[in-house]
Amino acid sequence: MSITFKKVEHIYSEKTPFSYHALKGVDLNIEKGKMTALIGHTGSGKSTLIQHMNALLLPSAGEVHIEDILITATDKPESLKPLRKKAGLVFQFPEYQLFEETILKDIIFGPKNFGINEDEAIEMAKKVLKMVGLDESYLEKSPFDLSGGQKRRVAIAGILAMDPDILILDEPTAGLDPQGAKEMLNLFKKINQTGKTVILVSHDMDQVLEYCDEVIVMNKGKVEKHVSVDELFKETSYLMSLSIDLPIITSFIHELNQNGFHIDPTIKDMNKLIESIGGELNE
Amino acid sequence: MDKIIEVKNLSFEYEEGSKTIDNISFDIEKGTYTTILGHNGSGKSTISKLLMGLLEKKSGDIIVGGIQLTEETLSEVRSQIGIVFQNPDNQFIGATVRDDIAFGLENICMDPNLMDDVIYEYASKVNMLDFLDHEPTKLSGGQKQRVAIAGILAMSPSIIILDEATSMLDPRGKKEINALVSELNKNKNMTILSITHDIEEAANSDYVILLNHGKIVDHGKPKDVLMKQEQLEELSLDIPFAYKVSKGLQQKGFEIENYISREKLVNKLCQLHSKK
Repeated sequence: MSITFKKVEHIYSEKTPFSYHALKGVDLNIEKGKMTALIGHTGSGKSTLIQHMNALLLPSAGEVHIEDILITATDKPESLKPLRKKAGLVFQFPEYQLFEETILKDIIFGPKNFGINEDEAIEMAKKVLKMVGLDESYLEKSPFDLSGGQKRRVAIAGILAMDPDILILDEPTAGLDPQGAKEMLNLFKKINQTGKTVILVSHDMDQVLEYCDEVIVMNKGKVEKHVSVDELFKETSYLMSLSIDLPIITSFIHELNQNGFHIDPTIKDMNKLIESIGGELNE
Repeated sequence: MDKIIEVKNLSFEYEEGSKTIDNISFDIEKGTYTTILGHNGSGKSTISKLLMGLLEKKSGDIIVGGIQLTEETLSEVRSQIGIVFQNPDNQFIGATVRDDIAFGLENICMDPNLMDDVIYEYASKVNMLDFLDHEPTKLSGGQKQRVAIAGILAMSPSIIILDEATSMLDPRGKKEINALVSELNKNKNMTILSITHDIEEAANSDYVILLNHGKIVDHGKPKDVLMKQEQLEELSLDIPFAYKVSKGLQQKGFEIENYISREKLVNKLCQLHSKK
Protein backbone atom coordinates (compact mmCIF):
# COMPACT_ATOMS: atom_id res chain seq x y z
CA MET A 1 0.00 0.00 0.00
CA SER A 2 1.14 3.47 -0.78
CA ILE A 3 -1.05 5.30 1.72
CA THR A 4 -2.89 3.86 4.71
CA PHE A 5 -5.14 5.65 7.19
CA LYS A 6 -6.22 3.82 10.35
CA LYS A 7 -9.05 5.29 12.42
CA VAL A 8 -7.84 8.81 11.73
CA GLU A 9 -9.58 11.67 13.50
CA HIS A 10 -8.91 15.32 12.98
CA ILE A 11 -10.32 18.05 15.18
CA TYR A 12 -9.42 21.65 14.41
CA SER A 13 -8.90 23.95 17.44
CA GLU A 14 -9.61 21.08 19.82
CA LYS A 15 -10.86 22.01 23.30
CA THR A 16 -11.82 25.51 22.25
CA PRO A 17 -15.27 26.89 21.47
CA PHE A 18 -14.25 26.82 17.77
CA SER A 19 -13.48 23.12 17.77
CA TYR A 20 -14.43 21.44 14.49
CA HIS A 21 -14.42 17.70 13.91
CA ALA A 22 -13.23 17.45 10.30
CA LEU A 23 -12.23 13.79 9.99
CA LYS A 24 -14.15 11.05 11.77
CA GLY A 25 -12.65 7.59 11.95
CA VAL A 26 -11.12 7.52 8.49
CA ASP A 27 -9.85 4.12 7.32
CA LEU A 28 -8.28 4.13 3.90
CA ASN A 29 -5.90 2.13 1.71
CA ILE A 30 -4.64 3.66 -1.48
CA GLU A 31 -2.68 1.32 -3.69
CA LYS A 32 0.61 2.29 -5.24
CA GLY A 33 0.44 3.38 -8.88
CA LYS A 34 -3.31 4.07 -8.95
CA MET A 35 -4.89 7.29 -10.07
CA THR A 36 -7.50 7.98 -7.40
CA ALA A 37 -10.11 10.72 -7.34
CA LEU A 38 -11.16 12.27 -4.07
CA ILE A 39 -14.68 13.68 -4.30
CA GLY A 40 -17.31 15.08 -1.98
CA HIS A 41 -18.81 18.49 -1.65
CA THR A 42 -17.37 21.55 -0.01
CA GLY A 43 -16.70 20.99 3.67
CA SER A 44 -16.69 17.19 3.44
CA GLY A 45 -13.08 16.92 4.64
CA LYS A 46 -11.18 16.42 1.36
CA SER A 47 -8.60 19.13 1.97
CA THR A 48 -8.09 18.07 5.58
CA LEU A 49 -7.53 14.51 4.42
CA ILE A 50 -4.87 15.33 1.84
CA GLN A 51 -2.99 17.58 4.22
CA HIS A 52 -2.42 14.51 6.40
CA MET A 53 -0.67 12.84 3.48
CA ASN A 54 2.42 14.99 3.87
CA ALA A 55 2.03 15.85 7.53
CA LEU A 56 0.94 19.43 7.06
CA LEU A 57 -1.71 18.33 9.53
CA LEU A 58 -1.20 15.66 12.14
CA PRO A 59 -4.05 13.36 13.10
CA SER A 60 -5.78 14.08 16.44
CA ALA A 61 -5.98 10.31 16.80
CA GLY A 62 -5.22 7.28 14.65
CA GLU A 63 -2.36 6.43 12.28
CA VAL A 64 -1.30 7.59 8.86
CA HIS A 65 1.22 5.48 6.93
CA ILE A 66 2.84 6.99 3.89
CA GLU A 67 4.73 4.01 2.47
CA ASP A 68 7.15 3.21 5.33
CA ILE A 69 6.68 6.43 7.26
CA LEU A 70 4.32 6.53 10.23
CA ILE A 71 2.52 9.65 11.39
CA THR A 72 0.40 9.74 14.55
CA ALA A 73 -0.78 12.45 16.92
CA THR A 74 2.32 12.08 19.06
CA ASP A 75 4.81 10.46 16.68
CA LYS A 76 5.67 13.08 14.20
CA PRO A 77 8.45 11.73 11.98
CA GLU A 78 11.77 13.06 13.22
CA SER A 79 12.45 14.75 10.00
CA LEU A 80 9.68 15.70 7.62
CA LYS A 81 12.03 15.99 4.67
CA PRO A 82 11.86 12.36 3.51
CA LEU A 83 8.06 12.48 3.75
CA ARG A 84 7.73 15.78 1.93
CA LYS A 85 9.98 14.42 -0.80
CA LYS A 86 7.84 11.30 -1.08
CA ALA A 87 4.49 13.05 -1.21
CA GLY A 88 4.20 16.23 -3.26
CA LEU A 89 1.12 18.29 -2.53
CA VAL A 90 -0.15 20.82 -5.06
CA PHE A 91 -2.63 23.21 -3.48
CA GLN A 92 -5.53 24.93 -5.19
CA PHE A 93 -4.27 27.86 -7.22
CA PRO A 94 -0.61 26.95 -6.74
CA GLU A 95 0.35 29.88 -8.95
CA TYR A 96 -0.13 32.14 -5.91
CA GLN A 97 2.86 30.47 -4.33
CA LEU A 98 5.38 31.45 -6.98
CA PHE A 99 7.89 33.87 -5.52
CA GLU A 100 11.27 33.79 -7.23
CA GLU A 101 12.73 36.19 -9.78
CA THR A 102 13.03 33.60 -12.50
CA ILE A 103 11.20 30.42 -13.30
CA LEU A 104 14.44 28.46 -12.99
CA LYS A 105 15.04 29.72 -9.45
CA ASP A 106 11.46 28.96 -8.51
CA ILE A 107 11.64 25.38 -9.73
CA ILE A 108 15.02 24.55 -8.18
CA PHE A 109 14.08 26.04 -4.80
CA GLY A 110 12.46 22.76 -3.67
CA PRO A 111 15.14 20.32 -4.87
CA LYS A 112 17.92 22.52 -3.42
CA ASN A 113 16.16 22.43 -0.06
CA PHE A 114 16.32 18.66 -0.26
CA GLY A 115 20.09 18.87 -0.65
CA ILE A 116 20.35 18.27 -4.38
CA ASN A 117 23.28 20.18 -5.90
CA GLU A 118 22.54 23.09 -8.15
CA ASP A 119 23.63 21.49 -11.44
CA GLU A 120 21.43 18.47 -10.91
CA ALA A 121 18.56 20.71 -9.85
CA ILE A 122 18.93 22.75 -13.03
CA GLU A 123 18.87 19.60 -15.16
CA MET A 124 15.75 18.54 -13.28
CA ALA A 125 14.17 21.95 -13.84
CA LYS A 126 14.69 21.64 -17.60
CA LYS A 127 13.16 18.18 -17.58
CA VAL A 128 10.05 19.07 -15.57
CA LEU A 129 9.46 22.29 -17.45
CA LYS A 130 9.29 20.23 -20.63
CA MET A 131 6.93 17.81 -18.92
CA VAL A 132 4.48 20.62 -18.15
CA GLY A 133 4.64 21.79 -21.76
CA LEU A 134 6.93 24.83 -21.54
CA ASP A 135 10.27 25.08 -23.36
CA GLU A 136 13.64 26.08 -21.94
CA SER A 137 13.28 29.66 -23.08
CA TYR A 138 11.01 30.15 -20.08
CA LEU A 139 13.74 29.35 -17.54
CA GLU A 140 15.05 32.89 -17.32
CA LYS A 141 11.66 34.60 -17.48
CA SER A 142 9.90 35.99 -14.44
CA PRO A 143 7.03 33.75 -13.35
CA PHE A 144 4.92 36.87 -12.88
CA ASP A 145 4.95 37.68 -16.58
CA LEU A 146 3.10 34.49 -17.46
CA SER A 147 -0.61 33.88 -17.98
CA GLY A 148 -2.58 32.17 -15.20
CA GLY A 149 -2.44 28.76 -16.86
CA GLN A 150 1.31 29.00 -17.52
CA LYS A 151 1.95 30.09 -13.92
CA ARG A 152 0.12 27.04 -12.72
CA ARG A 153 2.29 24.82 -14.93
CA VAL A 154 5.41 26.36 -13.43
CA ALA A 155 4.10 25.84 -9.90
CA ILE A 156 3.37 22.19 -10.66
CA ALA A 157 6.83 21.84 -12.24
CA GLY A 158 8.24 23.02 -8.90
CA ILE A 159 6.60 20.04 -7.18
CA LEU A 160 7.54 17.58 -9.93
CA ALA A 161 11.17 18.70 -9.59
CA MET A 162 11.25 17.00 -6.20
CA ASP A 163 10.38 13.77 -7.99
CA PRO A 164 7.72 12.65 -5.49
CA ASP A 165 6.39 9.07 -5.53
CA ILE A 166 2.95 10.35 -4.63
CA LEU A 167 1.47 13.39 -6.30
CA ILE A 168 -1.54 14.96 -4.58
CA LEU A 169 -3.46 17.61 -6.47
CA ASP A 170 -6.19 19.80 -5.02
CA GLU A 171 -8.46 20.81 -7.90
CA PRO A 172 -5.59 21.35 -10.31
CA THR A 173 -7.74 22.38 -13.26
CA ALA A 174 -9.98 24.94 -11.54
CA GLY A 175 -10.14 28.06 -13.66
CA LEU A 176 -8.35 26.60 -16.67
CA ASP A 177 -10.04 26.57 -20.04
CA PRO A 178 -11.19 23.17 -21.35
CA GLN A 179 -8.11 22.76 -23.54
CA GLY A 180 -5.75 23.72 -20.68
CA ALA A 181 -7.56 21.35 -18.32
CA LYS A 182 -7.25 18.48 -20.80
CA GLU A 183 -3.52 19.05 -21.25
CA MET A 184 -3.03 19.21 -17.49
CA LEU A 185 -4.91 15.95 -16.90
CA ASN A 186 -3.04 14.21 -19.70
CA LEU A 187 0.15 15.28 -17.95
CA PHE A 188 -0.98 13.73 -14.65
CA LYS A 189 -2.04 10.57 -16.45
CA LYS A 190 1.41 10.36 -18.03
CA ILE A 191 3.05 10.84 -14.64
CA ASN A 192 0.75 8.15 -13.24
CA GLN A 193 1.78 5.77 -16.02
CA THR A 194 5.41 6.04 -14.92
CA GLY A 195 4.31 4.21 -11.76
CA LYS A 196 3.58 7.16 -9.49
CA THR A 197 0.53 7.31 -7.27
CA VAL A 198 -1.73 10.24 -8.16
CA ILE A 199 -4.51 11.59 -5.97
CA LEU A 200 -6.79 14.12 -7.53
CA VAL A 201 -9.33 16.23 -5.66
CA SER A 202 -11.99 17.14 -8.17
CA HIS A 203 -15.53 18.38 -8.52
CA ASP A 204 -15.56 17.55 -12.19
CA MET A 205 -17.06 14.11 -12.62
CA ASP A 206 -16.26 14.06 -16.33
CA GLN A 207 -12.58 14.21 -15.38
CA VAL A 208 -13.03 11.50 -12.77
CA LEU A 209 -14.75 9.22 -15.29
CA GLU A 210 -12.20 9.76 -18.02
CA TYR A 211 -8.92 9.76 -16.08
CA CYS A 212 -9.19 7.97 -12.75
CA ASP A 213 -9.14 4.31 -11.70
CA GLU A 214 -10.73 4.61 -8.28
CA VAL A 215 -12.84 7.07 -6.36
CA ILE A 216 -12.99 7.95 -2.69
CA VAL A 217 -16.22 9.66 -1.65
CA MET A 218 -15.99 11.87 1.42
CA ASN A 219 -19.11 12.95 3.27
CA LYS A 220 -19.27 14.78 6.59
CA GLY A 221 -15.71 13.89 7.52
CA LYS A 222 -16.04 10.20 6.69
CA VAL A 223 -14.95 8.02 3.81
CA GLU A 224 -18.30 6.78 2.55
CA LYS A 225 -17.09 4.81 -0.42
CA HIS A 226 -13.86 3.70 -2.00
CA VAL A 227 -14.70 1.94 -5.24
CA SER A 228 -13.75 1.73 -8.90
CA VAL A 229 -14.95 4.53 -11.15
CA ASP A 230 -17.30 2.19 -13.05
CA GLU A 231 -18.95 1.02 -9.87
CA LEU A 232 -19.45 4.51 -8.54
CA PHE A 233 -21.25 5.92 -11.52
CA LYS A 234 -23.68 3.00 -11.60
CA GLU A 235 -25.07 4.29 -8.32
CA THR A 236 -26.91 7.25 -9.73
CA SER A 237 -29.38 7.68 -6.89
CA TYR A 238 -26.63 7.57 -4.26
CA LEU A 239 -24.66 10.28 -6.10
CA MET A 240 -27.74 12.40 -6.53
CA SER A 241 -28.48 12.12 -2.82
CA LEU A 242 -25.03 13.63 -2.19
CA SER A 243 -25.65 16.33 -4.82
CA ILE A 244 -22.73 15.00 -6.81
CA ASP A 245 -23.21 15.58 -10.50
CA LEU A 246 -23.04 12.63 -12.82
CA PRO A 247 -20.59 12.85 -15.69
CA ILE A 248 -22.40 14.37 -18.64
CA ILE A 249 -22.46 11.09 -20.60
CA THR A 250 -23.67 9.07 -17.58
CA SER A 251 -26.36 11.60 -16.83
CA PHE A 252 -27.50 11.53 -20.47
CA ILE A 253 -27.74 7.72 -20.39
CA HIS A 254 -29.62 7.92 -17.10
CA GLU A 255 -32.18 10.30 -18.61
CA LEU A 256 -32.68 8.04 -21.62
CA ASN A 257 -32.95 4.92 -19.47
CA GLN A 258 -35.60 6.55 -17.32
CA ASN A 259 -37.62 6.92 -20.50
CA GLY A 260 -37.52 3.38 -21.80
CA PHE A 261 -33.98 2.94 -23.12
CA HIS A 262 -31.71 0.17 -21.80
CA ILE A 263 -28.23 1.56 -22.32
CA ASP A 264 -25.23 0.32 -20.32
CA PRO A 265 -24.67 3.06 -17.72
CA THR A 266 -20.90 2.44 -17.59
CA ILE A 267 -20.30 3.58 -21.17
CA LYS A 268 -17.58 6.24 -21.23
CA ASP A 269 -17.09 6.62 -24.92
CA MET A 270 -19.12 8.73 -27.35
CA ASN A 271 -18.92 6.18 -30.20
CA LYS A 272 -20.22 3.38 -28.01
CA LEU A 273 -23.01 5.62 -26.78
CA ILE A 274 -24.09 6.46 -30.31
CA GLU A 275 -23.95 2.79 -31.30
CA SER A 276 -26.12 1.85 -28.33
CA ILE A 277 -28.70 4.55 -29.01
CA GLY A 278 -28.69 3.61 -32.70
CA GLY A 279 -29.08 -0.07 -31.80
CA GLU A 280 -32.11 0.59 -29.63
CA LEU A 281 -33.78 2.85 -32.17
CA ASN A 282 -33.30 0.19 -34.87
CA GLU A 283 -34.52 -2.75 -32.83
CA MET B 1 -34.28 46.82 -28.93
CA ASP B 2 -33.37 48.33 -25.59
CA LYS B 3 -29.60 48.33 -25.40
CA ILE B 4 -28.14 48.34 -21.91
CA ILE B 5 -24.51 47.94 -22.93
CA GLU B 6 -23.03 49.37 -26.12
CA VAL B 7 -19.39 48.80 -26.94
CA LYS B 8 -17.99 50.55 -30.01
CA ASN B 9 -14.54 50.02 -31.53
CA LEU B 10 -13.07 49.22 -28.14
CA SER B 11 -9.33 48.59 -27.91
CA PHE B 12 -7.06 48.02 -24.94
CA GLU B 13 -3.43 47.04 -24.48
CA TYR B 14 -1.53 46.10 -21.32
CA GLU B 15 1.73 46.60 -23.19
CA GLU B 16 2.32 49.15 -25.90
CA GLY B 17 1.80 47.58 -29.31
CA SER B 18 0.14 44.34 -28.19
CA LYS B 19 -3.61 44.62 -28.22
CA THR B 20 -5.43 42.51 -25.65
CA ILE B 21 -8.74 43.88 -26.93
CA ASP B 22 -8.64 44.70 -30.60
CA ASN B 23 -11.31 47.01 -31.95
CA ILE B 24 -14.41 45.15 -30.79
CA SER B 25 -18.03 46.28 -30.99
CA PHE B 26 -21.12 44.65 -29.55
CA ASP B 27 -24.47 45.49 -27.98
CA ILE B 28 -26.22 43.75 -25.12
CA GLU B 29 -30.00 43.93 -24.87
CA LYS B 30 -31.57 44.68 -21.53
CA GLY B 31 -32.72 41.58 -19.66
CA THR B 32 -30.78 39.07 -21.76
CA TYR B 33 -28.37 36.38 -20.66
CA THR B 34 -25.17 36.54 -22.66
CA THR B 35 -22.20 34.22 -22.31
CA ILE B 36 -18.70 35.11 -23.42
CA LEU B 37 -16.62 32.12 -24.44
CA GLY B 38 -12.94 31.99 -25.30
CA HIS B 39 -9.84 30.26 -24.04
CA ASN B 40 -7.62 31.69 -21.29
CA GLY B 41 -5.88 34.78 -22.55
CA SER B 42 -8.52 35.57 -25.18
CA GLY B 43 -9.39 38.84 -23.43
CA LYS B 44 -12.64 37.82 -21.72
CA SER B 45 -11.82 39.13 -18.27
CA THR B 46 -10.28 42.28 -19.70
CA ILE B 47 -13.65 43.15 -21.25
CA SER B 48 -15.39 42.89 -17.90
CA LYS B 49 -12.75 45.09 -16.26
CA LEU B 50 -13.10 47.66 -19.02
CA LEU B 51 -16.89 47.73 -18.63
CA MET B 52 -16.45 48.41 -14.91
CA GLY B 53 -13.84 51.06 -15.58
CA LEU B 54 -11.28 49.05 -13.61
CA LEU B 55 -9.00 49.33 -16.63
CA GLU B 56 -8.73 52.34 -18.85
CA LYS B 57 -9.53 51.77 -22.51
CA LYS B 58 -7.09 52.82 -25.21
CA SER B 59 -9.78 53.83 -27.66
CA GLY B 60 -13.45 53.34 -28.40
CA ASP B 61 -16.68 53.87 -26.48
CA ILE B 62 -18.43 52.07 -23.66
CA ILE B 63 -22.01 53.11 -22.98
CA VAL B 64 -23.85 51.53 -20.05
CA GLY B 65 -27.53 52.30 -19.55
CA GLY B 66 -27.21 55.24 -21.92
CA ILE B 67 -24.26 56.73 -20.02
CA GLN B 68 -20.93 57.08 -21.76
CA LEU B 69 -18.19 55.71 -19.49
CA THR B 70 -15.72 58.49 -18.65
CA GLU B 71 -13.77 59.50 -15.58
CA GLU B 72 -16.69 61.70 -14.51
CA THR B 73 -19.38 59.07 -14.94
CA LEU B 74 -17.38 56.21 -13.45
CA SER B 75 -19.39 55.83 -10.26
CA GLU B 76 -22.68 56.20 -12.11
CA VAL B 77 -21.72 53.39 -14.48
CA ARG B 78 -20.36 51.21 -11.71
CA SER B 79 -23.56 51.51 -9.69
CA GLN B 80 -25.36 49.71 -12.51
CA ILE B 81 -22.98 46.77 -12.65
CA GLY B 82 -22.14 44.14 -10.08
CA ILE B 83 -19.18 41.91 -10.83
CA VAL B 84 -18.44 38.55 -9.27
CA PHE B 85 -14.86 37.40 -9.73
CA GLN B 86 -13.53 33.90 -9.89
CA ASN B 87 -11.60 34.07 -6.65
CA PRO B 88 -13.78 35.32 -3.79
CA ASP B 89 -10.81 35.76 -1.44
CA ASN B 90 -9.97 38.99 -3.18
CA GLN B 91 -13.35 40.60 -2.60
CA PHE B 92 -13.95 40.41 1.15
CA ILE B 93 -13.98 43.46 3.38
CA GLY B 94 -16.24 42.84 6.39
CA ALA B 95 -15.24 40.95 9.53
CA THR B 96 -18.43 38.89 9.39
CA VAL B 97 -20.67 37.80 6.55
CA ARG B 98 -23.26 40.33 7.77
CA ASP B 99 -20.71 43.17 7.75
CA ASP B 100 -19.49 42.19 4.36
CA ILE B 101 -22.93 42.39 2.78
CA ALA B 102 -23.60 45.61 4.73
CA PHE B 103 -20.44 47.27 3.40
CA GLY B 104 -21.84 47.71 -0.07
CA LEU B 105 -25.19 48.87 1.25
CA GLU B 106 -23.49 51.52 3.41
CA ASN B 107 -21.65 52.71 0.35
CA ILE B 108 -24.89 53.33 -1.49
CA CYS B 109 -26.23 55.09 1.65
CA MET B 110 -29.06 52.69 2.38
CA ASP B 111 -31.27 53.53 5.37
CA PRO B 112 -29.78 51.39 8.20
CA ASN B 113 -33.32 50.40 9.26
CA LEU B 114 -33.87 48.69 5.94
CA MET B 115 -30.47 47.10 5.81
CA ASP B 116 -31.14 44.10 8.03
CA ASP B 117 -34.03 42.92 5.88
CA VAL B 118 -32.01 43.24 2.70
CA ILE B 119 -29.09 41.36 4.24
CA TYR B 120 -31.45 38.58 5.37
CA GLU B 121 -33.15 38.39 2.00
CA TYR B 122 -29.96 37.89 0.00
CA ALA B 123 -28.10 35.78 2.57
CA SER B 124 -31.06 33.42 2.49
CA LYS B 125 -31.16 33.48 -1.33
CA VAL B 126 -27.64 32.11 -1.49
CA ASN B 127 -28.30 29.76 1.42
CA MET B 128 -25.93 31.47 3.85
CA LEU B 129 -28.40 32.68 6.48
CA ASP B 130 -26.86 30.43 9.14
CA PHE B 131 -23.46 32.00 8.59
CA LEU B 132 -24.27 35.70 9.03
CA ASP B 133 -22.02 36.03 12.07
CA HIS B 134 -19.18 33.91 10.71
CA GLU B 135 -15.88 35.29 9.51
CA PRO B 136 -15.76 35.22 5.70
CA THR B 137 -12.11 34.14 5.67
CA LYS B 138 -13.00 30.96 7.56
CA LEU B 139 -15.63 29.84 5.09
CA SER B 140 -15.00 27.29 2.36
CA GLY B 141 -14.42 28.50 -1.19
CA GLY B 142 -17.97 27.81 -2.28
CA GLN B 143 -19.46 29.52 0.75
CA LYS B 144 -17.25 32.56 0.21
CA GLN B 145 -18.42 32.90 -3.34
CA ARG B 146 -22.03 32.71 -2.24
CA VAL B 147 -21.44 35.58 0.20
CA ALA B 148 -19.75 37.62 -2.52
CA ILE B 149 -22.74 37.09 -4.79
CA ALA B 150 -25.16 38.02 -1.99
CA GLY B 151 -23.23 41.25 -1.42
CA ILE B 152 -23.55 42.21 -5.05
CA LEU B 153 -27.19 41.21 -5.39
CA ALA B 154 -28.05 43.27 -2.34
CA MET B 155 -26.95 46.38 -4.23
CA SER B 156 -29.54 45.56 -6.92
CA PRO B 157 -27.48 46.44 -9.95
CA SER B 158 -29.22 46.13 -13.32
CA ILE B 159 -26.32 44.17 -14.82
CA ILE B 160 -24.42 41.32 -13.24
CA ILE B 161 -21.11 40.21 -14.70
CA LEU B 162 -20.01 36.75 -13.64
CA ASP B 163 -16.31 36.29 -14.32
CA GLU B 164 -16.05 32.50 -14.06
CA ALA B 165 -17.85 33.00 -10.78
CA THR B 166 -18.92 29.41 -10.29
CA SER B 167 -15.75 27.71 -11.44
CA MET B 168 -14.56 27.16 -7.87
CA LEU B 169 -17.90 25.99 -6.49
CA ASP B 170 -18.89 22.41 -5.91
CA PRO B 171 -21.82 21.07 -7.96
CA ARG B 172 -24.36 21.92 -5.29
CA GLY B 173 -23.07 25.50 -4.99
CA LYS B 174 -22.88 25.80 -8.74
CA LYS B 175 -26.49 24.73 -9.16
CA GLU B 176 -27.70 27.11 -6.47
CA ILE B 177 -25.88 30.05 -8.00
CA ASN B 178 -26.96 29.17 -11.54
CA ALA B 179 -30.57 28.87 -10.39
CA LEU B 180 -30.31 32.19 -8.54
CA VAL B 181 -28.76 33.97 -11.49
CA SER B 182 -31.33 32.65 -13.93
CA GLU B 183 -34.14 33.64 -11.55
CA LEU B 184 -32.75 37.18 -11.38
CA ASN B 185 -32.54 37.19 -15.14
CA LYS B 186 -36.08 35.91 -15.73
CA ASN B 187 -38.04 37.43 -12.85
CA LYS B 188 -36.16 40.62 -12.13
CA ASN B 189 -35.18 41.32 -15.71
CA MET B 190 -31.53 41.63 -14.77
CA THR B 191 -29.02 41.59 -17.58
CA ILE B 192 -26.46 38.82 -17.16
CA LEU B 193 -23.05 38.73 -18.78
CA SER B 194 -21.33 35.49 -17.92
CA ILE B 195 -17.70 34.82 -18.75
CA THR B 196 -17.45 31.08 -18.72
CA HIS B 197 -15.83 27.94 -20.07
CA ASP B 198 -19.05 26.01 -19.64
CA ILE B 199 -20.34 25.25 -23.11
CA GLU B 200 -23.56 23.80 -21.64
CA GLU B 201 -24.27 27.09 -19.86
CA ALA B 202 -23.68 28.89 -23.15
CA ALA B 203 -26.07 26.50 -24.91
CA ASN B 204 -28.82 27.60 -22.53
CA SER B 205 -28.14 31.34 -22.70
CA ASP B 206 -29.80 33.92 -25.01
CA TYR B 207 -26.66 35.06 -26.82
CA VAL B 208 -23.09 33.87 -27.15
CA ILE B 209 -20.00 35.96 -27.89
CA LEU B 210 -16.92 34.05 -29.06
CA LEU B 211 -13.66 35.78 -28.35
CA ASN B 212 -10.18 34.97 -29.66
CA HIS B 213 -7.01 37.05 -29.41
CA GLY B 214 -9.01 40.07 -28.33
CA LYS B 215 -11.36 39.95 -31.32
CA ILE B 216 -14.98 38.89 -31.59
CA VAL B 217 -15.11 35.82 -33.80
CA ASP B 218 -18.85 35.29 -33.60
CA HIS B 219 -21.86 36.76 -31.78
CA GLY B 220 -25.36 35.39 -31.99
CA LYS B 221 -27.91 32.94 -30.66
CA PRO B 222 -26.47 29.68 -29.30
CA LYS B 223 -28.07 27.63 -32.08
CA ASP B 224 -26.23 29.73 -34.64
CA VAL B 225 -22.86 30.03 -32.89
CA LEU B 226 -22.50 26.68 -31.14
CA MET B 227 -23.25 24.48 -34.13
CA LYS B 228 -20.14 25.63 -35.97
CA GLN B 229 -17.99 22.72 -34.91
CA GLU B 230 -14.86 23.66 -36.84
CA GLN B 231 -14.85 27.17 -35.48
CA LEU B 232 -15.23 25.93 -31.90
CA GLU B 233 -12.46 23.38 -32.38
CA GLU B 234 -10.15 26.02 -33.84
CA LEU B 235 -10.65 28.04 -30.68
CA SER B 236 -9.98 24.95 -28.49
CA LEU B 237 -13.52 25.13 -27.11
CA ASP B 238 -15.72 22.20 -26.22
CA ILE B 239 -18.48 21.07 -28.55
CA PRO B 240 -21.94 20.90 -26.90
CA PHE B 241 -22.63 17.31 -25.87
CA ALA B 242 -26.05 17.17 -27.57
CA TYR B 243 -24.51 18.37 -30.82
CA LYS B 244 -21.90 15.59 -30.74
CA VAL B 245 -24.60 12.98 -30.15
CA SER B 246 -26.92 14.29 -32.87
CA LYS B 247 -24.04 14.49 -35.38
CA GLY B 248 -22.99 10.94 -34.50
CA LEU B 249 -26.52 9.63 -35.03
CA GLN B 250 -26.76 11.42 -38.38
CA GLN B 251 -23.57 9.66 -39.47
CA LYS B 252 -25.25 6.36 -38.60
CA GLY B 253 -28.03 7.28 -40.98
CA PHE B 254 -30.63 8.58 -38.57
CA GLU B 255 -32.72 11.49 -39.68
CA ILE B 256 -32.39 13.78 -36.75
CA GLU B 257 -31.70 17.50 -36.70
CA ASN B 258 -28.81 19.12 -34.85
CA TYR B 259 -29.37 19.83 -31.19
CA ILE B 260 -27.38 21.84 -28.69
CA SER B 261 -29.82 21.42 -25.80
CA ARG B 262 -29.51 18.06 -24.06
CA GLU B 263 -33.06 18.25 -22.76
CA LYS B 264 -34.50 18.69 -26.25
CA LEU B 265 -32.37 15.88 -27.63
CA VAL B 266 -33.49 13.50 -24.87
CA ASN B 267 -37.12 14.38 -25.65
CA LYS B 268 -36.60 13.75 -29.35
CA LEU B 269 -34.85 10.41 -28.81
CA CYS B 270 -37.52 9.24 -26.41
CA GLN B 271 -40.19 10.21 -28.91
CA LEU B 272 -38.43 8.17 -31.65
CA HIS B 273 -37.97 5.26 -29.23
CA SER B 274 -41.62 5.14 -28.22
CA LYS B 275 -42.74 5.21 -31.87
CA LYS B 276 -40.91 2.04 -32.83
